[in-house]
Amino acid sequence: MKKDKKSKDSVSELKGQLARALADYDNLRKRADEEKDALFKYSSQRIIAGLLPILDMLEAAQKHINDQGLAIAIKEFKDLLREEGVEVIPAGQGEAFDEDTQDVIEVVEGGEHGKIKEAVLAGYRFADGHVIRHAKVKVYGGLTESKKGENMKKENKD
Amino acid sequence: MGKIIGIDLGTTNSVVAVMEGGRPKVIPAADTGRNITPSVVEPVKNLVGDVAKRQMILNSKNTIYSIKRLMGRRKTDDEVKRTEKMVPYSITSGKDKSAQAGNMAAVEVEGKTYTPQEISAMILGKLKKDAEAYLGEKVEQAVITVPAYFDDSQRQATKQAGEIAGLKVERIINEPTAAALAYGLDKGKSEKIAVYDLGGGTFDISILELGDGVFEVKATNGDTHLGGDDFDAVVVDYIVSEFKKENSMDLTADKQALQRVRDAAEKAKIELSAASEVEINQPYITQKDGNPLHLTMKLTRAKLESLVEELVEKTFKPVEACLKDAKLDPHDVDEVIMVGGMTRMPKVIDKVREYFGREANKSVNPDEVVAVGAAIQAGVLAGDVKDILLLDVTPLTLGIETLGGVATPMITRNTTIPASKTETFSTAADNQTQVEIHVTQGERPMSADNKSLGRFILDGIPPAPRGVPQVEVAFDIDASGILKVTAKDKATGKSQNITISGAVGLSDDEVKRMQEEAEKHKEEDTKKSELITARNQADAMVATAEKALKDAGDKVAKDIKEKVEEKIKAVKEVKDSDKKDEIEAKTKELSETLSQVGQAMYQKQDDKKQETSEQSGGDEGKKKSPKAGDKAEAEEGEVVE
Repeated sequence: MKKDKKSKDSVSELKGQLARALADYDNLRKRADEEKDALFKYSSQRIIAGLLPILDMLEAAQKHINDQGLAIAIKEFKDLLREEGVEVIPAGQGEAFDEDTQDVIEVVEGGEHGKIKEAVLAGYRFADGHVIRHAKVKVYGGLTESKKGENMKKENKD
Repeated sequence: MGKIIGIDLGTTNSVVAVMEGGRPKVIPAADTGRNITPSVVEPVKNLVGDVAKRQMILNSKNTIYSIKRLMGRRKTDDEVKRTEKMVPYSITSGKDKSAQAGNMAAVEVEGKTYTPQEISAMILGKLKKDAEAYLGEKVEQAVITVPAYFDDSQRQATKQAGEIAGLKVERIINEPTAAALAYGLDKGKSEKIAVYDLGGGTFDISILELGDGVFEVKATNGDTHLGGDDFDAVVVDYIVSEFKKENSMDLTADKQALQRVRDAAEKAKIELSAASEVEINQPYITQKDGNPLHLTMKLTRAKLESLVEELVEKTFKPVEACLKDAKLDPHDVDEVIMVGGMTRMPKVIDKVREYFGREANKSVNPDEVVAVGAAIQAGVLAGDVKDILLLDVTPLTLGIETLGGVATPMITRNTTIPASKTETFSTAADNQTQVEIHVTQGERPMSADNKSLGRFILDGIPPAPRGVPQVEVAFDIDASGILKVTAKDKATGKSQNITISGAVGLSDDEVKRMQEEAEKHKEEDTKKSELITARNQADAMVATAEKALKDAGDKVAKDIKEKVEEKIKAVKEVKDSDKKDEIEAKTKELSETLSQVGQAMYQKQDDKKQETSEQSGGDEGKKKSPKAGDKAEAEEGEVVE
């Protein structure tokens, strides 16, 4: 009798483990499909992320030498990014800082707390919002300590 | 019952992992896709991880990091005082002034007090959410790791943090123990294990002793303010000072430039773990008198190592103290485990090897190894990890011996069992009526160098030209590692088999030895197997040529026939030598000459031509043959169905 119970127990234990293994497998299969879709969608992200610093350098050079030919090259570069569904993350002066797409690298005295002073490095994202590189921005720190908190709360509601 | 997740709740970064299909899997953060989440929290807006880190400078007073340094500590604790000097947010004492909690350290953000438990709970809550998004099911249980030196109050606080986050903490385990679990060291004999953990901001060394599958922390030591950040700082200082020397400009005065130097320094440090030299190029980094200045320099691994040498040396003082506490010499340690991103640096690896006199375990990603161990512990608690479900793999390749003594793989190394594989082979000689199936195990390309597991003969094959009979060979390993090899003649249905137990269950030493041997002999083995292939091809070509001549009879001009015969002779002369190139050259010559036979036949007789060309090309090159006669055989090729 005891043996009977024991074998019954082990059968149900095995059944449980089998069910778990099958479920694991099924979930894994589903996830593999999802990951494959994502991989396909974002496969260009790696190479684009690697090319962006070079675009930065070209733009820095252009700012300095202001060459017409280089201007064309930079335009072609940006057109290509657009065709790949890549867009520039807006980070204009006076806009509110957005931690989802931007990265504060410096806080500048004065101005209105939490507003962008300037973008020092352009950010890029796919049209669906998936960020390739966060924009690096200098942000105003505001005037007084007490005002800081209030302004920040206000922005949140925006 | 839902899944139990394993969480490495770190000072700088946190990681979550889960058992999936019997294996630990690190779960990427839903927002970034990265496997690690910074332990940074902005409690007012409830921002956690990378997003909190990005706004850290702007809201430095509201952004909490290194909360682990405050966990379960009194406000008056030395570590708390030290942290207070370091961080911009304000540290206060607990909410409930009347109770004992009133003495405990907490943080204050915009007039509200948060306990370290609450802040940690936000990190845990995010990891829980990431895990739920990944698994597609609710997660309510967790195993969380803590440093080995955490006292009861700190462990209790960690447990409470889990509960606030809605996680039942099934177990709190020590970080070094988790690392040892990730390497499967609990299954070994009793051992002494050193865990060297150099993370982003802290260094820990622990000595564990394993007995009856239970780990005991013998001693622990460390430096709570030594980590990867210090290494980065040294590199940044160097770049800045070199730039100053060259351009008389101080980059630290320009925050934007300094940020670029920091990014470049970290990137260079990481790249130098693989490369011996990197270029740092940051054009237009700053301006001087209206002219742009560029940062371009080379950093060698040797230079980096000399820069950080002092920091690496600094880790060995705690290591020494720890060993002393454990009453051990470095050589008494049986296993060394590397944890933390900084242990990727070759200099650190070398120093650790030098000190302990042995190679460290570093195959598991050092950023993830603790979370992986926590997930394994979670799996054990959930019943995911039980002997019966632990999938085994074949430690060495299983195959059969084919013509020329070549070991032809059937089931390759590291295949998860149970597994089976079927391939069709043929005979090597005309009218061959039996084949010998010789089952071998090992990574070497020649059967003689591998371990022989058994052999049997399948006979009664109807006489036929070589390459025509189809012998199906099936390998089947069951879950307990018992291998059954069956050979079946497709024409007659006659079959033979052999059952070999213990095909998987080699001792670890044996497996290791065989793998090492394979590695050691790799080059000569490749040469040898290329030679055998050349010989086999030569044999096959000779057989084809002889047959073609016989079939063609007097339809081929005498001069062509003589030429072919001459080439056959030439091949035969060299084919048993060790000169691979010569064998190949002569075989090629024969092949070229032989094609003239085909051409001649074309011209002579239309309907005969097809048969000849089929015979000269069709029945060879498509079949492998089990070790058989010592005569001609086909070249290596695909399976025939």
